[in-house]
Amino acid sequence: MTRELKWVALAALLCFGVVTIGAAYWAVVRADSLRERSDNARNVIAEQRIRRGAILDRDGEQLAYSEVTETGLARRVYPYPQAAAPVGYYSVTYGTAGIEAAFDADLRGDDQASAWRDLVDDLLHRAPQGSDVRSTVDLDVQLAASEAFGSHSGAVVVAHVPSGRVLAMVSQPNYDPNQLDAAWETLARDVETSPLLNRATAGQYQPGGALQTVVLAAMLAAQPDLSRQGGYVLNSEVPDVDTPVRVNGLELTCLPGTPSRPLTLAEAYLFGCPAPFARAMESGLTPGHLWERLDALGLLTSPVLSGFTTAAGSPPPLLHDETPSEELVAALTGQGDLTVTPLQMLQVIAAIANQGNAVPLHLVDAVRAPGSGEWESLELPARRPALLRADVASAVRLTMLQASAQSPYVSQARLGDLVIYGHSALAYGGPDATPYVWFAGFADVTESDQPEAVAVVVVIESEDDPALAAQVAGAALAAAVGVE
Amino acid sequence: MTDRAVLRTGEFDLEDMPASRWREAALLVLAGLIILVNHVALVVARDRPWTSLWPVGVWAGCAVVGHAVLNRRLPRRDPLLFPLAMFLTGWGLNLIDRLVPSYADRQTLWLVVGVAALLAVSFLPRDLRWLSRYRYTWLIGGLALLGITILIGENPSSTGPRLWLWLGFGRVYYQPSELLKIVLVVFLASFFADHQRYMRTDTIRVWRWRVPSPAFLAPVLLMWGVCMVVLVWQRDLGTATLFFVVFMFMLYLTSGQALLLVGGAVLLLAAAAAAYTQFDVVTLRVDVWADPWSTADSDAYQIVQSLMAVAAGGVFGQGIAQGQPTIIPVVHSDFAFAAVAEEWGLVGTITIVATLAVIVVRGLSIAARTRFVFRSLLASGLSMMLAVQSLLIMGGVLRIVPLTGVTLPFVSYGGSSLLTSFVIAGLLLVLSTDERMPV
Repeated sequence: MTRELKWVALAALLCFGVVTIGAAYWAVVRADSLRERSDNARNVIAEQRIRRGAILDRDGEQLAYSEVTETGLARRVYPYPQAAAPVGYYSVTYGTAGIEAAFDADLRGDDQASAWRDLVDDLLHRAPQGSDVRSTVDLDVQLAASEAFGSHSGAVVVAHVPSGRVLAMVSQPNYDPNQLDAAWETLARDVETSPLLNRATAGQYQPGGALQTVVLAAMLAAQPDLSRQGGYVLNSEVPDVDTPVRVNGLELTCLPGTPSRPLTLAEAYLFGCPAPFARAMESGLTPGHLWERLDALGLLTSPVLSGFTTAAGSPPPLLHDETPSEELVAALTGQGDLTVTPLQMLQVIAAIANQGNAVPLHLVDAVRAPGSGEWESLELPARRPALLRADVASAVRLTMLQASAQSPYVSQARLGDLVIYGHSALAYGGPDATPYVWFAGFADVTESDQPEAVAVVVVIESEDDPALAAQVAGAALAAAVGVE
Repeated sequence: MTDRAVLRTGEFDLEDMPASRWREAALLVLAGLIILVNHVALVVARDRPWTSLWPVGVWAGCAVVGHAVLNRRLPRRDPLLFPLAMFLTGWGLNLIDRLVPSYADRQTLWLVVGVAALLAVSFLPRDLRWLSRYRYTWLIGGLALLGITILIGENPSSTGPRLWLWLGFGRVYYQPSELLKIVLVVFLASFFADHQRYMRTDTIRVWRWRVPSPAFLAPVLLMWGVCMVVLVWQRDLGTATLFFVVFMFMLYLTSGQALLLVGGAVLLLAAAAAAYTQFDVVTLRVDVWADPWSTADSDAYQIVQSLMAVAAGGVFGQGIAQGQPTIIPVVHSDFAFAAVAEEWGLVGTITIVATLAVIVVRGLSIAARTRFVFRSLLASGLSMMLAVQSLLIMGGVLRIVPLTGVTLPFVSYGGSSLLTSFVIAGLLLVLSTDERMPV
């Protein structure tokens, strides 16, 4: 029987050997493919253990932070859901958006520590710590703009000039980032209102009358000697100023409440009369000039918002001398193929407020490593190209100031003794020509010799009263100037 | 007094004996240190109070008492079996306290019961003839218990196979098929020992091979029948396979006919094929084993999660309480081995496999040393019971064989299983002492 026992012992040892090889196969050979499987809950748990950095407003108020629960996992908290447009969301299941997406690597704490530190942390199972991110958002302005916007659909974006700090960004309909996981199905499926779309940076709007600022700038830039002829161009009466303009089946007119008397070009601008702008080609402007101006003002490319991916509409077909006149009229009245985002419009307004020079728009200005009290400023693009000639910017600026005195709409943005430069406009978007109201303008807050301003762009969907947009802009500016 | 006992037995390994006793004590201390370090790490990682180290204290008490009593009762025992069994059980305590803290009390209690049972076995007559003499009583008793379980068995977790009997108090249940493991080995060892001479000589020729006469087919069929009953009425694939494989090996050891193993394998495969077509639970287990990936989120969830746990452990493991083995459903009983793999890595799994392999090889060598056929068959049968059970569950967890719901001896949660394992260890310890010693 000893012989048989030897065989049995050998067989048992062989089987134990096979088990060992099996364990080694899964633990070493196949380990990586198993670890990377999307249904491996360990990846989600590892993600939830990360102590993500906080997102602060410019005064250090927390806009987003991670709270560690009893289970050792972190939960993201957003104390101000009204700030969802700039802050965005972070979800293990659905990814990230806004600052949470743009500064994800910093917030997660990737590539901060040395390889040695990473190894030690990993061995000791220390939860990874992310950096805090300081945004340029001013919570007071953000809340004021959000409150003034009410339940409308659309966007507001406010920025400081010349620093380019974005003080507020509202996109409505909104969502509560605290409830994102629970509400995702509804939010993502709602193509009607698309609450997850950040309308301020990515909403493609028909510019309509809001493009008059750009066309006016192009008309002024086309004058050979603006210092002598500028006043003449702006202040001479325009014939047939209230003639309706027909474009793509729409009949465009001056804004309601326009006085029935002869108007100058400046007055046509402030009352939103389309006719003089539709006829701009008759007074020396060429399609090439207009195209050049659209390009220079950044309406054909995505605007730069440091660290962010922004959107631009698909560029319209190139305008040139052979372009049919109906297409030119559509382009000049903002009812053509060109669509713009509120951020693109803000870039134009900020340049006008800034003597024609571009401002480096940004939403985050500093990052603080975990455990460090020092904020490390982020680098901004050094180049500040001139988008407009200083004299053109100055002439447009004066016209916008005149608007705040005369326009029944722009004047609604004035609160107290706040000096406003602005322009109200109507646009029609989509196949069913839904009306939009625009407001674009700024408040001059220069105190010393360095010019300063707060620029604002408002667009409200499915409304035809330009006063609504002006009121929202006024509330946002008042909050911003109170702080500035 | 023990020293005098050693001197009295003069003719056997006079020098070796104190050394082997020290070896057992040293191994117990080493095992205790490993278990203590693990439990301290658990307490630190989970921020538990230091008083929650008490299971280690109970373990140490069992080790000291066990060692002392065994020194008195079985001074010439195998020095490895008791410390290795205690090592695995202590590791199991670490694991259960980490996985399901609320079960730790009960498992610690079962450890005390198990060690008590082991020591009780050591107090029974050492020639074990009483086991052999009443073999039919044991068998009928065991089968009767099985029958009662089939009739009125329940499942403490209220779903799943009804393999347990309520003991009439608290939430204490016993699984009679565990007892049947020992009873069957005892019966077969006794039966084969009485008939071995005929089985070796009474052979017929089938073409070129000599096989035992068909008369010996009767016990084979009887055993196969018992397994089929377990399989059909209780859907307990693991226990049925376990019984049958151990039985075939004991038949092989008795008869020396390797051909019988082939025949047994054919019968096993036939039964498996029939079960595959007849029983949904078997179909499911086999399909999931053949291809777990396509149903990783439903039927194969458990096994795929188990493999992910092994992968997460890698070579050195995540450390106790640092991995996520609790993702695997019922990890503390069927998948204890996967939890070891995640938190102690390949190092831990190889340690478990090696420890079990040493226990089995020591058991088989005890079988080889004895001059009595019954004792030899008993030792080898009990060792094979531990070996096959370990291999079935470890192979199942690692997707080497289809998953069968048996426990990992000494390590998994479960009182019946722990008690059985300790009784087996106790019987092996008794068998390891020289039978010529006067009792």
